This record gives sequence, C-alpha cells and structure tokens, in this order.
Amino acid sequence: MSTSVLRLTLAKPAARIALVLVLIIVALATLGPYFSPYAFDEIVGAPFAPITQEHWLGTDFLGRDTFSRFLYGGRTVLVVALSATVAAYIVAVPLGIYSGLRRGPLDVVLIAISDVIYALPPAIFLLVLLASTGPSLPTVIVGIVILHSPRIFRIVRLITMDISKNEYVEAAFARGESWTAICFLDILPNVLTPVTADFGVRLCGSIILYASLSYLGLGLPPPAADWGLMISENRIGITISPWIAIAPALAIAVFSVAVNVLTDSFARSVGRSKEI
Amino acid sequence: MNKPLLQLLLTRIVLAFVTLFAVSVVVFTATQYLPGDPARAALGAKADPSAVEALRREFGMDRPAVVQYFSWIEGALTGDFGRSIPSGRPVWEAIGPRAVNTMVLTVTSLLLLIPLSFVLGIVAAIYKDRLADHLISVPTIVTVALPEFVIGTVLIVLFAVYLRWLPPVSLINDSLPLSSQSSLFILPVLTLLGTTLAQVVRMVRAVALEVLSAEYIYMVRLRGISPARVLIWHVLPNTITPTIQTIALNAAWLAGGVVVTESVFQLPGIGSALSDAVINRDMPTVLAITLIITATYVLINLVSEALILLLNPRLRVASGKN
Repeated sequence: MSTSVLRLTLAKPAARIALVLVLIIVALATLGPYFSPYAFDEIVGAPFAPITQEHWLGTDFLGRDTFSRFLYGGRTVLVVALSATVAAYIVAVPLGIYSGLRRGPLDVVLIAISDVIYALPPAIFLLVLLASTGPSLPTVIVGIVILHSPRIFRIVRLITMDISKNEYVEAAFARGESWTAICFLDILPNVLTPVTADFGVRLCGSIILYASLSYLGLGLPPPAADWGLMISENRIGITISPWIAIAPALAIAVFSVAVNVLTDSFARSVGRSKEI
Repeated sequence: MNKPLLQLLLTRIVLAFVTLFAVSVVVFTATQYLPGDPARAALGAKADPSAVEALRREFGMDRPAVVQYFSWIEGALTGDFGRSIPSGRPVWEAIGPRAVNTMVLTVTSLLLLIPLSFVLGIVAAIYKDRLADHLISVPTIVTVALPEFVIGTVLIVLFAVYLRWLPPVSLINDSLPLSSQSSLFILPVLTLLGTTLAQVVRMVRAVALEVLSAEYIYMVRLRGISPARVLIWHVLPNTITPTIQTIALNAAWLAGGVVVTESVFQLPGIGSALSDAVINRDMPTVLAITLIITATYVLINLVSEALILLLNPRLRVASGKN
C-alpha cells in the first residue's frame, strides 16, 4: 500500500476513529487473556451477582467472572474471521486468474459450482454443513471459505478476462513468456487493488457469520468464553444484569462497524465505492 | 406479452428450477456423505451397533443414496418430509404451524421495509449533506454491519429490561389467534428491519440523487410543476427499477435472517426449528427446512428478475418494433 492511499484512507476523522477502535478490539482480543483477573472457567461466586470492585461486570449464569470471560471471548471471532477471509482469497484468486486466462472446461465447472453456492442463503449453508459434520471450528472456517470464494472468484475472473485483452499481455505471450511470469507480472498486480478493496466487506461478513454461529451455540463449545455464546448462555439473566449481554454485544458491534467504516474509506481511496 | 420477453422469462423460470434441483441434490448429498452418521448421532456415541442398524433400517437409511434422494424429493413435493429422527413424529406436523409464524414475521418485515426505505432514501437524497441526511445515513452505516443477535439483544435490553414495554421473549401460543399476540412480533420485526433497511435506504438514496440531478427532472421543474408532484410522478417511479434487486437481495436475506432472529426471541418458527435441528442433528428436519428456505430464496430472486424485465421500458420499445 502506498503512502498516498494510506493518507487518503485516513483523511476523514471517522476513518481515523474506526482505525483506533479496530486496534483496541484487536488488542483486547489478543492480549485480554493475559490481563484477566480470574480464569475463564473459574467459579468465583453466586450466579448473576451484581457489579462489585472484585467483579467489574458481575458474574454469569454459573457464577464465573464476566469481565474475565469478556477478556477471553474475542480471540476466536478474530482468529476465525481473519483466517477464513484470508484463506478464501488464497483459494479464489489463483482459481479466478486461471479461469479467466485459460477458460476451458474447468472454467465451466467452477462457474456452475459458484452458481449453486450463490443459490444458498449463507447462514443456511453453514447450518447444513455443521449439521452433517458436527460443530467444529475447522468446519466453520471451511464453510466461510466456501461462501466467500465464489464471489471473489467471479470478480478476479472478470478482471483477468478484461486485462488479458490488453496489448501488453498479448505482447508478453508473443515474446514467449511463461504463463507463470504473465500471471505474476501482468495479471496479479492489476487484480490486487480491486480485490483488496473488497477485503473489509468480506472480513465484516465473516465476523457476523462466526459471531452468529457462536450465538446459536455452534462455535467454540462451552465452557469456553466466546462473545456470541456469552450473550445466549446468559439470556435468562438479562433482566437481572444486562451488562453480561451488553459488553460482548458492544464489542462485536464496535469491531464489525469499525472494520466496515475503515474499509469503506479504503475502498473509496482506491476508487471503488461499492462491492461488485 | 411479446415473444422475446416471454422467452427471457421462461429461461429464467427454467434456470430457477435447475438451480433448486442442484441445491437439493447438493444438500442431500452433503448430509449423506460427510463424516458423521445421523443414526449414530441420534442415539449417542456409546449406542449398541444393532440399535444403530435398526434405526437406519427404520428410516430407510440402508437403501442406496439415489433411491433415498428420489423418495425424499417425491415426498417433499407432496408435503411429506419424512419423520424427525429423535421424536419419530412427521416433520411437517412439527414445522407446519411454525411456518405460519415465520411467514407472518417475514411478510410484515417486508411490507414495512419497502415503503420505509423509499421514504427515508428519498428524504436523505433531497436533503443531501444536511441534518436530515445525516440523521438517516449515519445509523444505516452502523446497522448494516451488525449481526441480528446484536440488534435483537440491544432491543431486548432497551424495550424489555429498561423500559419494560414489551416482553423479552416471543413465546407464541398456538392455541390463541395470532392477532391477539401481535405485540410479540414487534421486536423480531424491528430486528429484521434493522439489518435490512440500511442497505435498501443507501441504494434508494444513491439512485434518487442520480435521478434528482438528471436533466429531465430539471426540465420538469422549469415547467413550474409543484415539487410534490415532481417527487411522486417523476422521481419515485425512476428510483424503483434500480432498487428492485437490492430489495430482493434483502428479502432473500430475511429468509436466512429468521434463523438467528427467531432464536434470539425464542419465537417458534422454522428458523429456530432449524437451529434446534442442527444441534440435535435431526437430518430430516434440517433437509425439509433448508429446502423450504432455499426455495423461497430462489423464488424471490426469480420474481425480482421478472419484475426488472417487465419494468424495463427498453424491452417494451424493442417489442414495439417487432
């Protein structure tokens, strides 16, 4: 990323605030466990005890320290969302470039597969996948990768087809340059900008998908601390101590909204305002 | 109706059926071949192998997959989705009454979504960069990135915990008429609106801005036609067609969004039934609800494509020449 793009991205105060918020949430999720006063699964008092000096957010439905669980609960959503989104690009970008340059039977098959994935509502697809394999984090990551890949694949394929019509690509072929050289030197640099512009939209989508699965009890299994799960497992106590639900809900909301605002600003600075 | 338009529409309809068939095969195959045996899952890991075998026979899971697929799809077309694995009751008996609740929830949300997003989007466009625009646009940037359960939880904390206006859960009683329990639908409908309204409002605003700066609107204004008439007769109709696709996308999102929303409010619908079935690994129920929701999703996309084709004046002109 060049410095001018960075300056443009952070030109608006909203984007700068968003960057700070993203950094705070990332720090909270990664470093939080080291600062937690209690273990995430340690029973420290009566269930739904009120906020005290020892327990900043009270205790949860089993009498565990809510603040400690809050500090532990962000790790999974951060790791799952980030790794699934990055993996989707690693899978889809090469396939898109290959499909766009070579076409052929593989292209037809890949387009057909992406059509079928498009026809399934994302949440439903993940639920069916988890129903048949049993809930596990690797399956969730694979599922999110499968959901993002066709969308990235389509964009990369279209851009590649567009670029390969350019004279400098034809010239490279005429000079007898290898396919690998053309892919890396001529196609990839042109694909990279529009693809990174959409990265934030997909990261935000991954955050929402994983957090929702966790809320439904299909993420990290109990007794682990996970922001989505914390809200649903304490729902019977929400009228007694609403902060148990508000704290993780706020963290997820700030995380995904800030990622959205920041990447929207980035997309604008590289000349793309909307997702294809 | 003219010929090319009819042909286009028929192609879209055939494609929708092909997609639905492909999806049903994929979903069915996924539940057959992926690791994890539903019969074993239903009985538990320590179950007696002969009991697992007997359950497999009882539910016809010992037959070849192709036979199972066709007998399943044949039943599904006549409303017979087989029996639920843990309870042994017919799937439709359990999800039929719930489907009504889900219908009420989604249709109400959609009926509010469309007029609201046009009003808010056009108002934001007229007052671009002024207070009214900011009051509409800023919340949409926030809600567009929020999961349903966060919006639902915030609404519960606000309206059920602090204000005590509405109940925190929507436990609908089957034996009472739905009309007497309409207050139970308020928070779930608001949740679904919260997640879908943002995108449609943003789209309407963008399209309306374009229309408002178009030359023909300028000409209409020069003719001295009142601003209200310009809005209703010239701006509004021109924002509809480009927005249909976004509305359809969000309507389709509603079809999936009910899963989390119904779970948040414990509203007995097919969405919450699906997440329960996934946790219990009740495959016949998972298959049935997935098929219903996917069919709705494909149907919504089909209707939106048909509407875009029918509302496109360029196609009408082309047919006039033929």
